[in-house]
Amino acid sequence: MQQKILNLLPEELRNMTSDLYDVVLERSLMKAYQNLSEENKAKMARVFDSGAEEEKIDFLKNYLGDLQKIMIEETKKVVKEIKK
Amino acid sequence: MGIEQIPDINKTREEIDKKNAEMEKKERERIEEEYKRLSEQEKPTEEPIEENLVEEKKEEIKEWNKSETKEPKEKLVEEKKEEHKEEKKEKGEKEKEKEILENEITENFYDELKKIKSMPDKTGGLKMEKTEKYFQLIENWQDLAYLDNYKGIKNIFSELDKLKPSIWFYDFKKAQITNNVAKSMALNYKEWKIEDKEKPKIIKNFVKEQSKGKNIFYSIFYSKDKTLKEIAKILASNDIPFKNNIDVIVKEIENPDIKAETIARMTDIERESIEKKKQSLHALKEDMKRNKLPPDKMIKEQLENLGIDPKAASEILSETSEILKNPEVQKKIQELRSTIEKVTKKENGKEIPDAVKKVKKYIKDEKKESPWKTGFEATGGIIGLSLLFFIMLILKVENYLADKAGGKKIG
Repeated sequence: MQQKILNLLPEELRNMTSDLYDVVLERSLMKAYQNLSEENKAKMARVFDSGAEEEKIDFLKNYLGDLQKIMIEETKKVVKEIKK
Repeated sequence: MGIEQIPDINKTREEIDKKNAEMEKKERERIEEEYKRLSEQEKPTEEPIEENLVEEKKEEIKEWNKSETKEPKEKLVEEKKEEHKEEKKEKGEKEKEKEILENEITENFYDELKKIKSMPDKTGGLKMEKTEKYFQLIENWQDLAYLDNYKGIKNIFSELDKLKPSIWFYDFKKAQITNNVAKSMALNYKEWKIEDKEKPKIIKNFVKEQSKGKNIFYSIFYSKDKTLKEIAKILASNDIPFKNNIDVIVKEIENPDIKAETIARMTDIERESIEKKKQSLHALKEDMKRNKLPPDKMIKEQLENLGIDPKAASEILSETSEILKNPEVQKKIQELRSTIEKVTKKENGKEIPDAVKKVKKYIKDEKKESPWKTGFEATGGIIGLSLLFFIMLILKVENYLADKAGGKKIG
């Protein structure tokens, strides 16, 4: 999806938006990951390495349910950083 | 980092292109074979309800033969005939009642439509109010709109076209409603009392007609091909035959990736048990209920959260290409590019656990299908849009627009 909307944009904007989106997503995932217990960190590695599709969806729902909120917060931070 | 560090980049690229072309060729051949196979399948002739009736009759005959009663068989036959007559009469009355009720409901919807049509629409505010009423009426009507062959709903869509409201996210909301009405058409396929061969044509034409024009906002969430894919899935889950029905919908899908995904999904659904199909349809109906929540408000709120005026932002976006030609904006792009590079470079130095990398890849994967993805996709899209608007803001495009249109600001 992200790519689909980006494809509609001129290249300069596409690259910049895509890079920033990557930063936001990675930072948010790191934050969510740090909030997990060691046991769940290991579970995450196992599920996303060799788990079935359903297990992945369940993991995202059950353990990374806050990710969307975190992403919105991280977007605000990135925006602030660039504004400086 | 420089190009000289990758001396054989053209050769590598050629090799990748060649490999991709081969893979694409194979995939296309596979899709064509699958499509051919599905197209050759015949419509199922047996209805489960009839099967039950036959079984019931068999049981009755068995019972009748076993009967030790002294009464003459003729009398029993007469009694059975009477029973059936009664049943038929009762059934006929119920049918009649149902028909009367359906007519009343449809009439009520038409009355409502008449009222809305008579609402004034001279000012922007009045147009907005009238549009909202039309949208509400479509949402209330869509599940029973098969009763009048969707004539009433189509009438509302043409009224909306005439009204042309300049409302924030009008196109988006219209695309959302088009998607939902089309899905309702598919969900009510069996109840819809017209010839089967006409139904897919009506759905296809409706989606085609209402998806004309391209809008960057609703293309994130809706497109003609995406809607047709969903329709095909619903029909397959509802045991509608592929030949002369679903194939009409699939043929209309232009994007080869979406077409391939749809055909692959058809094969999966075909193998699913009746119970699984029922579950999928139930989940879909639940999704549709959730879909009635206006994501336009979600986008609007998020943009406002970042200090961006959504209305002006949407106008800016439609003029993006032109704005970027401006030399002042070009200069700003270079400055912003280097700021963003600094931010991303900071990230490159950090150690990222493998598990995080894998989840990131999973989230960014366009091909996966999951109910969770739908909700996340919306958030991802909003964030993408917000970042884009933010970039536009930094590029000082508001100044450019202010010169052009007389003082409009986006943030």
